[in-house]
Amino acid sequence: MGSTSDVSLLNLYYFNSAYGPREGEEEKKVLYYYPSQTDVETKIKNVGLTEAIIKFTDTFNPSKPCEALHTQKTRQIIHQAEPGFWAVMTLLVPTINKTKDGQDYTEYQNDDVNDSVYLAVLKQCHLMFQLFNGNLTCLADNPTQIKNMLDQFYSRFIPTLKLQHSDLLDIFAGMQFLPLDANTFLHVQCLVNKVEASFPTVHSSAILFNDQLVWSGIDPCDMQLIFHYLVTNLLPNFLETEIEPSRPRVVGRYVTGPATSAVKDELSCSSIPRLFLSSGQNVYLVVYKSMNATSCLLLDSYSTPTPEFFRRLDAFLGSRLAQISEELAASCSKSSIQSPGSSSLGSSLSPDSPKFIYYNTLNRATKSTIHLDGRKCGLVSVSQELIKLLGDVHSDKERLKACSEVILKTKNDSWVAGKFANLREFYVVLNTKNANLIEISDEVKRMCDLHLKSIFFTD
Amino acid sequence: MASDYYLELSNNPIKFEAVSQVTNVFFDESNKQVFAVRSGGVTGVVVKGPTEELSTSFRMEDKGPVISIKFSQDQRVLAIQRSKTSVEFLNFLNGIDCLEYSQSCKGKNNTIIGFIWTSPNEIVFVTDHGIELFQVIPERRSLKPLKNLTININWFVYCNNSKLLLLSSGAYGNSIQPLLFKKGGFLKLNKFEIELPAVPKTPPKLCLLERDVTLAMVYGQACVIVLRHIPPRVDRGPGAEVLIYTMEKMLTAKKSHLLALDKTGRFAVNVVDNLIIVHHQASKTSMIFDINLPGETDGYVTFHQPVTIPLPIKPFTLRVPSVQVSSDMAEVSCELYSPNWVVFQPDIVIDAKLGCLWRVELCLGNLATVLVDKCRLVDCLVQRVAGKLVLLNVLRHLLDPLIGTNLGVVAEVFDHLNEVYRTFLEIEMQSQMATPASTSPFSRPPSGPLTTSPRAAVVIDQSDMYTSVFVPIAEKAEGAAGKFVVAVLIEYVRSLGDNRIPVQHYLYELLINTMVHRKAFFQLHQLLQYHVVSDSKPLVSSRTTKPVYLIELIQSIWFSKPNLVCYLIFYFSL
Repeated sequence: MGSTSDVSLLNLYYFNSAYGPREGEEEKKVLYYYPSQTDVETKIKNVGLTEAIIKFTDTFNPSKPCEALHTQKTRQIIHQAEPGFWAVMTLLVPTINKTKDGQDYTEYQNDDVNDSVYLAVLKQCHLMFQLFNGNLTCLADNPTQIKNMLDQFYSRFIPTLKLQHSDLLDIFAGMQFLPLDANTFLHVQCLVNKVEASFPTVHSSAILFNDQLVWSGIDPCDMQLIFHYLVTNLLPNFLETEIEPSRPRVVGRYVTGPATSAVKDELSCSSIPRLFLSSGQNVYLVVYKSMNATSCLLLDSYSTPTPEFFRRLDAFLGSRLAQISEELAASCSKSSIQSPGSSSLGSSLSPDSPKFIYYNTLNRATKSTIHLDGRKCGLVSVSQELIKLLGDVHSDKERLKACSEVILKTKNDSWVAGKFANLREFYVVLNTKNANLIEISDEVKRMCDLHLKSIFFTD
Repeated sequence: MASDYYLELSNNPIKFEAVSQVTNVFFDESNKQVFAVRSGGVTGVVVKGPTEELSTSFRMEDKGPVISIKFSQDQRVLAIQRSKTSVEFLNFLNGIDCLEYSQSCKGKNNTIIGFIWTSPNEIVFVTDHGIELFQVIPERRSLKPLKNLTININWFVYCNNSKLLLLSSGAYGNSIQPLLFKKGGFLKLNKFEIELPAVPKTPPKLCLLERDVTLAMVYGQACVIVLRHIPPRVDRGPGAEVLIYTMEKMLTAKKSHLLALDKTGRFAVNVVDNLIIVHHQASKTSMIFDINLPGETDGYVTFHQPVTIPLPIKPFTLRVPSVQVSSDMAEVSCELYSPNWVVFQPDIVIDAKLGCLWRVELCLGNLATVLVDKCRLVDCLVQRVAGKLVLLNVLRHLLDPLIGTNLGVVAEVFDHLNEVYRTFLEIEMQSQMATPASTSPFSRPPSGPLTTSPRAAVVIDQSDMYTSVFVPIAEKAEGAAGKFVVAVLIEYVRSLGDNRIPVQHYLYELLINTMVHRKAFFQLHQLLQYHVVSDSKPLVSSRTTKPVYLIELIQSIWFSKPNLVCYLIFYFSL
């Protein structure tokens, strides 16, 4: 077997046909193009091709615009981000170089690229853009500004796209909730209430512990995006700065907002990210971390938060959040000892033990024992093939009834099952040799009972 | 302003003939009776007690000036001291019996300092050389000696509630011998010394005086309350202070509390509803102290500041017949903190010149407005007999969404309330387990478990909070106030949980309803997800709104929380 290549990004562009309706003005349609060094001719040609495809397919099904274009070597994902504004992403299909009859040739793994996964990635990109910049439609009169904003956002965002690790979880884009006992949860909730009552400019807030959400008072649509921004981007980057040994130990620190030592500085306070919520509101995002607990506060943007505000918040939150962090850590270690499943399933890290992914459409909660962390680093406990298969099972779900079950057997004797009911999805990967369908079905049922007792149910 | 005071004098004072050249007035602390003796008793003795039964009048022969006069507790025998060496007795079996009988003290050179009725028919003479206990046999008009104790005595203090007698001995007067009286005898408790602020070197003289020592029951424990005047020689000390010794298990006295007065001059002490009240004459104000409130401590002694600022007693007006028009009543305002005031235990103030006896009473409602620290206020009110209504008012005010009290304070207040609530439930449970099923549910076990803090007078349980506090404030919850109400409810549920008290379903209902009104469905879902709102049998009522989210919510908890589902279905008529 020869060398292989993973799926990778060929280009990503935004265009709006309305900006260049006449011949010779095609360049004006292009609002953003990656890679930026591409010559104008190619840009115009690619945009033109996409436009043509959209137009052409529109005649067959005007209600549902074209989403993907398959070619042997590439896969193009098309998404109408906002009326008239199209986002397009072209991927290079993964390849395997093989030798047959002494001759090298390249095999394109077209089946490994799942349209729904990458469509979800593209949609997520634009939602993230909207979170930080607002709607393009509002700026329709000012294409220059749109260009600047898209450029600014994507130049930073594209390097963080981990396309080769994109999978089923990107479709869900759910949040991992921390399992907790009621009392500890109430302590968290009470802290949140105290913060919001003591600082009236706090519009809403959320608390995370490590990479898991404990409480959110933020609208779920926005929370989902903020959660992903925090977990995949902000917190891992912050962690790197935190490890620096030269820094003095302090109780809590601002992740966004001023560095605690430099709170006096007027300038450092003005560099707080602004978010555009789905409700149309404009807020400041202040993230404060103390030990493993993170408090994520959305501040009303009527006035810029003052250094005084940050000092007071630091004084209020530092020790309290640290205390909650300790309590959460204690509660977690307690529940992992008491968990009835841990012993019967053996170590969840062993490749042969059953794995699952769970998603709840209602509160956007996900839980995965396949992914070892929520940071999309490709740390997974089953093979890539199986993960891809899970994506396919999800795509098939569309054709099934609301309450259904799918069980597949792979060539190498692994089983993949999907269970859908009640706005929830449950995927299981089993490595049971020589099992029959009944055994697998029973095992899936058993896992349902074990892990999702009182949450997930069928029949 | 209505809150200029938190103490008042009882509305209907006992009026008696004022002290004059012909009238002497005596007060018996044990029976709470005032004796107005006119001309040595010839022109009449008027006895006024707190009830009709304890009030009477009679005449007796004038056999010299009366030093002390007291009825036995059953009102059958009157003891009169007219000399330094003997006490005379008069029987009151069926009306007054004119035949007096007398009992002298044993020692020839002894002087009787005073006498005390310790039980219906037992009397103790306190002399300068010891005490002598007698049994009075009214039928035979004689006394039978029971027991005596030889000890040099400067002065004594007695408390009828605890039957505890303190004898002051030693050159400085600070060596205290406590005696506990039981029927037919007394127990000698461990002797102790009261600390003196400064001891004069030579010659020794009495430093601790009777007027500075008070014996009273506070939170079920006998307490020796000592006023300490810091001498002016000592560099500008903190002013006078009050030192409290508690009688632990009625055996040994232990120095336990120190009350800072920050003032100098004349003081008097009352105990009302377990609060120690210190009247200060110079400033015409009173301070209140609650030794149950937390204070700084060095491990042995707890230091207390006044519960709140010193304030005068509420002005008192007396209605007296007008001089000009006989049918009219004129209102005369009484001088408060007058030099004619004499203070008795536990809560009595007498103005001998005016001829009035009052009880000192608390105005808890005003205390609530004066005391700024709400946690201290709650701690204080929980221990007051009439604290419940006031406390509920305070809570309703504190949790009013328009006031917007700091949630940290709310949390602390709830924790304090629920700690009391939990203790109450624990005692309740223990007494249920201790009582066999066959015995009457009304009979309580003789002694409760020994708890460190006294059993609270007021318990605010969940249903009190619900009906008197949460429902009224939830009705006001509109807009931003709803957020506060939800926060308060969650804080209360949290506090109950921390105290391991099961939460009643109606609190959850209120929480759910308030959250639904605020359309905080995502948050509500999180509460359900973490099993904060547990499944319970619901009340059924009806409403017309049908939020779509609720239908999804109901689907999601269909099997795990069937009762809650029923509730939601009925509540929203889905």
